[in-house]
Amino acid sequence: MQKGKKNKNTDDSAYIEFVVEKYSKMLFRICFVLLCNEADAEDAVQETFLKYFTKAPAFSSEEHRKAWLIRVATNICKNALRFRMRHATVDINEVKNIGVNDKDVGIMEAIMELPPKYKIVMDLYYIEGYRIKEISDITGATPAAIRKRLQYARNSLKMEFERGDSFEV
Amino acid sequence: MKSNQKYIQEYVRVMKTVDISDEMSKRIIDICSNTVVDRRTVKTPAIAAISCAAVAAVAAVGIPKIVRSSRRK
Repeated sequence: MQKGKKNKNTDDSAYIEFVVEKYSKMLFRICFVLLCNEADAEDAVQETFLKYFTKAPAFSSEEHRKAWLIRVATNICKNALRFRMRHATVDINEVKNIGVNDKDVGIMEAIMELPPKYKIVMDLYYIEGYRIKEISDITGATPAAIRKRLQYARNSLKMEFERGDSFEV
Repeated sequence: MKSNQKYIQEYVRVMKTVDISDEMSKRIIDICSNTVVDRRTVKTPAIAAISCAAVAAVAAVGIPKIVRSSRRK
């Protein structure tokens, strides 16, 4: 990132709308799987965009911008989780309010049961289509650790699905 | 890996249904737009005038005493 350089388009509300429309869904999904709570996820997405538009960093490419947003969003979620660990409890029933079909609520709950570091890796790999090296760059973990987390996540997901009887072939 | 394929497919299918609400998107756009506008207005003449006044005051009076005394130490 080229710090200090300001993006000239940042003041343009059309530009803000463009960026929010483009990345809000992806960021919300990442924040939601990490926080297991719709309201907290929305707050995290809002904070991420606020950081983006107030800092207004310049990026060399669209991928660079996307990776920055993911990194910032995951850091905000980690901070929120750390705060929650000290101050409050997690209500997993929130997943029912997210618009997921009734038959998928069990699957979503199984996904939510995974530890955060597995969920973020699963999301980046299977949903966003990042490669292991790229995930390594975004999360700061080594490629070997990412591979291992993916393996654990797949196995854990299988166990959660089978345990919750939420998956029917 | 292959034995997990059906679970992965389910995972991807369900996760792709997760989306932020339109109202929230609009709210974020509004908040971000207002924040950026606020930052711009803060930088306009009011701050510049205060900065100039502060510089002029320091130039006229000299470096504040408290700073001088700490420097002597």
